[in-house]
Amino acid sequence: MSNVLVNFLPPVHLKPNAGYSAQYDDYHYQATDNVSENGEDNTAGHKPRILLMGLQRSGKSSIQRVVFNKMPPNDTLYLESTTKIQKEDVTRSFIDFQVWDFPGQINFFETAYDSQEIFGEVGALIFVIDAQDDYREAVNRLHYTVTSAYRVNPNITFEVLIHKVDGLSDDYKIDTQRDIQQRTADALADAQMEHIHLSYYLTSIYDHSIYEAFSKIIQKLIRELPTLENLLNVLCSNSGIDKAYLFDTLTKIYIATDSSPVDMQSYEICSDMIDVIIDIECIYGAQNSASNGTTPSISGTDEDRSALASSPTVSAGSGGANGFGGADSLQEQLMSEQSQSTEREAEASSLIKLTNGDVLYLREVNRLLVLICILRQESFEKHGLIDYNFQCFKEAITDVFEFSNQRNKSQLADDNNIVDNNSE
Amino acid sequence: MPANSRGPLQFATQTALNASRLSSDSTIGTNTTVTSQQDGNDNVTFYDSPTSPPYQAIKYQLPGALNALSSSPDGEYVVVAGREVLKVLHVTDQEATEYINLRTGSNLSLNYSSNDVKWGNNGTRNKIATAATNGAIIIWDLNKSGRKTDRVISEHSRAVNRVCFQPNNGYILLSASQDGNIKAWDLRDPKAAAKYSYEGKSESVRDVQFNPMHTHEFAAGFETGTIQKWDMRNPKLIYERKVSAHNGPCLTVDWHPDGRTLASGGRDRTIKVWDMNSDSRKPQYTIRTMASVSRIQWRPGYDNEIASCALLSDNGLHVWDVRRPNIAKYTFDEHSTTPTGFQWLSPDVVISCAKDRYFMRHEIVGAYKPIELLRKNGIGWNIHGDLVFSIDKSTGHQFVDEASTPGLTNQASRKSSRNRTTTGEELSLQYIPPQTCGIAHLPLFDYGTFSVFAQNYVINGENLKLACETNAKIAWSMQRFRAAQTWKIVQLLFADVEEERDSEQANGIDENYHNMSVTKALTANGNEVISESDSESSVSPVNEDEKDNEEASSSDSSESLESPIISQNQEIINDLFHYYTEQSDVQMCVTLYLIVQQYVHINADQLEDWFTSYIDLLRRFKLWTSATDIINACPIDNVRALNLNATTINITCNNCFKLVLGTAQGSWACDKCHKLLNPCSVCHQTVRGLYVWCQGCNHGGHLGHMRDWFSMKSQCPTGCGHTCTLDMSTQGSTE
Repeated sequence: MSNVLVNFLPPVHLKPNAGYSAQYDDYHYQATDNVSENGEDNTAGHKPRILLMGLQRSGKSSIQRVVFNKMPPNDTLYLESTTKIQKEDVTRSFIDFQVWDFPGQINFFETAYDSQEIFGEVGALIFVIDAQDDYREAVNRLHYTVTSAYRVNPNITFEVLIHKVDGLSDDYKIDTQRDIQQRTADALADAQMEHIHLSYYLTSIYDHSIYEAFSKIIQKLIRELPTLENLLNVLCSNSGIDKAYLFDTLTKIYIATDSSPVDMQSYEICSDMIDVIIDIECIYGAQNSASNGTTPSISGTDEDRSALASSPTVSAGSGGANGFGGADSLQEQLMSEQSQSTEREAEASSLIKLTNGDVLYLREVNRLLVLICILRQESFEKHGLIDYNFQCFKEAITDVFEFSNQRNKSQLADDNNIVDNNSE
Repeated sequence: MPANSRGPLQFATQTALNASRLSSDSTIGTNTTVTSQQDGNDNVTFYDSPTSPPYQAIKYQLPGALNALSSSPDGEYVVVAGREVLKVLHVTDQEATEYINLRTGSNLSLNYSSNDVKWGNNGTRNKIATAATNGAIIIWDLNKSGRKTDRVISEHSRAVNRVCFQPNNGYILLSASQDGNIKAWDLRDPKAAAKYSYEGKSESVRDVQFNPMHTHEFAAGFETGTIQKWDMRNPKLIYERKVSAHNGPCLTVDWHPDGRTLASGGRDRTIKVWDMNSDSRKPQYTIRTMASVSRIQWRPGYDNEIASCALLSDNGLHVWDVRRPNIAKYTFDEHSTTPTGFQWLSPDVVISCAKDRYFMRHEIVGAYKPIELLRKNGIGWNIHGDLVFSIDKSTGHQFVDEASTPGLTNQASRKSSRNRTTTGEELSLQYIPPQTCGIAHLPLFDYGTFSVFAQNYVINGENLKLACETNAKIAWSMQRFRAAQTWKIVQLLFADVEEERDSEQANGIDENYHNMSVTKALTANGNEVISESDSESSVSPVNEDEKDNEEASSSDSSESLESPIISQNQEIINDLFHYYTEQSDVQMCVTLYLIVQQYVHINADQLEDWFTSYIDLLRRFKLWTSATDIINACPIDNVRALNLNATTINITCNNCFKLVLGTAQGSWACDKCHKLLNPCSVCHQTVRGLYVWCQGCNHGGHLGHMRDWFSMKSQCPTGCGHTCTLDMSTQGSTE
């Protein structure tokens, strides 16, 4: 993976998203570029694309901003209505994806738009339905969109976000979902396309449900998922870890977890932990890395380290997640390796002990990924073992991504050859 | 207006109830604990062993955390599995001993760490299937010598969550995997490939269970929250029925022995019971538990009872009755972490395992019953002296009265006759424990008189004689003769002092008094708090000057002339106050003091006590206006400060009477009913700028529109029937 990342290091490649170099400044949002600049990036052709569609005012842009641009949910109130396709490359995240935010009021299946171009390479089509509104129109539109897109590209996975469910009661939520599911299923059955499979998620930008939905959507597009999951399983069983998440640092989406069921409490506390670490990194982290415009990695120079050492332990507020009790003591250990070369190893780690005896342990896997584990205090006594296992895990992950990257490249090369041959 | 007043009233009664509950606990609590103890004793005798010590669960500690267990068909042996454990235990009703350790040897691969384990039956009674965390399914043969591994199937790309043997044919094995596939294996077939593969077209499969009656059917629970029913004979390999059951992942399913009812549990903390034969998309029963439900199993022999354990944060193993979903019937809480797996060995024996490394065998006798820890009687009263109580009327020790709520079996039989379909279901849903409620009125406090006095008593002592006379009349009219007499006496005592002052400033005081009574009349109408300040500001500057004069003169005179009289009357007055304090009539104390405050001296601490408790009472009865009057009239700084700090004025919507949560600048519309606040009665638009309204009916609008309207009509433009204009000359004052 690090090889791939080096590609992004020169400022030239960062041009479209130059503003993101300071991405962890306080909520820095950037108007997304409407220009396609894929040409520069040779991997862009293979980026899975996520389409966000739905009626107007259903919350598409809000979702995009909250998940990918770290906008606070309350600020989405002031978003203007989208008028043209907003394309965004999520390059600095692990997930090499494009998110296309489609304005709700335009029909993209009219002849004026090249539906082949739009839907040809789509990995996932996310259709957003406003659950607080009358959704009959949205369901009709969903049916139309799904059937049309399916004709163009049958490989798309269709995901339906039943959105804005905050404020609805639990019973009402499930009723709404059931109703929408039934209506769509009936409509698809009438069109004799019942083999199209839709996944439904109840989401809201005001809690973690939107992140969980996106996690699941994106996991479907990650080919390495089974391998990652097995690696995590091995890590968990050999280190006595209760639950481990592999997070994309920027979006707080988990791209893999071990196979035990995800419970919301542990997910929320882990994703909150990322926020804590990022905040601390903003205050004490190295400036030079940010000026390189490269990394969200949490690392520091010698001065930073000494500054940290002299600073007392930072104690987090008691407002921890529900079942977990407040964070009792937060021991920040920002270990850093002196950077001689430009290719530094990301080595941030952090440890939070909770009052209920659980330990949250964060390790940075590479610049884009962090591993967060939840384990019992007793298991954490074998700290050295866990660290050793983590190193193995990290090497394995690096191997996996290098392998798949090479495979991608060779495929791309093959494709190009074919094209060349054809043209000749 | 009545709807408007409901909210705060309820609040007041609520607090009163809470307060009274605290006090009632001490008296009632003893009764209920006694009865519940009796219940417990009776139950012990029911099990016919009143003297034997309570049942202790059999515990057996294993070297590592446990994930699952399964018993052999005869129930004698139990296999337990975890990440570091795979052992067969021999379990009797006395003890548990290790029988075979399957995780032996040096080369311990991942195949030895298991997510789930199942013991075969019939042809495979000596075989065990485990689902490894790496996606492999391992079949173990206990009869094999040496390494017991019989076969390793690794066809799933992701971890296998659950395996399940067909109930009557142990050669058929189902596996549910994270990769979204359910695969069926025929263990007689030496080829490794799956016989069938069922793609749920959904996400990871969390659980799969064969139907015990129709063994070709099975149900699966998915991470999307759906459950699906499949028929193995269906060659199209598509599910027969799909229910979106849970909000969030569905973690477990279990078939009822009747073969048509399915229960499912999920991360949304519910257990839902579904009739898989009907087309209804609603669950028959819903049990809300405290935590995410990780496993469920119906209790054999008890058609309506189901056991569950949590995913985390709840260490109990609960047995529920679907007809009484709000409280568990039994709870086992011996484990120190959440149980990860359990199984009923017989209707009264359940075995369980947990991450705390313990395997346990419980008997239902050892479970405690949460219902017995509950207090079933309650009592409370409100500020008007009404006492409400509820008494448990359930006679026996039955958790659920079988006769009144038939539950699942009877329903099924009823439906099999196909006479009733849905109506029968709705009839018998929940068991409601019989209770009697009652309300008794205890005439401890005369609310009516209190509020009449609070609203009508004159509290301004400037014209003592008149004030006493008025108050005496009011008291007389309310048939409080003693109070009336008191006022008369006070009047007599201070009359001569007053007369001297009267002669000096007769006209001024007269005017003042008139003004005051008008204020009172207004407040009696129940208008807004503002009226107090209104009346003050409406007093003309001339009056204020006079007041100043009065005060100056009275203070002069009290020093020079009245000191002997005060000393004379002080004793009587003190007795008077003492009497009313004894009677705990703070209303009288406060009012009396306010009237005669110029002539008497009272300990400041006592005064503050009176005032605060009187104001407290007034507020409790929602007599806000009177309370504010008292606060303003009070000479003590501490009490006056009540009105000075943090005075919030809340506005209610004039349409739905909900609280309007606006900004500091106010708001234009109501959040609840989405209607404009105080629109113009004529044009129905929001009024920006001057808003004019009638003090009588509270309707109003634009200044111009109102002027136009009232130049022609005298009644309210909304048609409420109120005559807003007194006569043409007062039109100016309305504006």
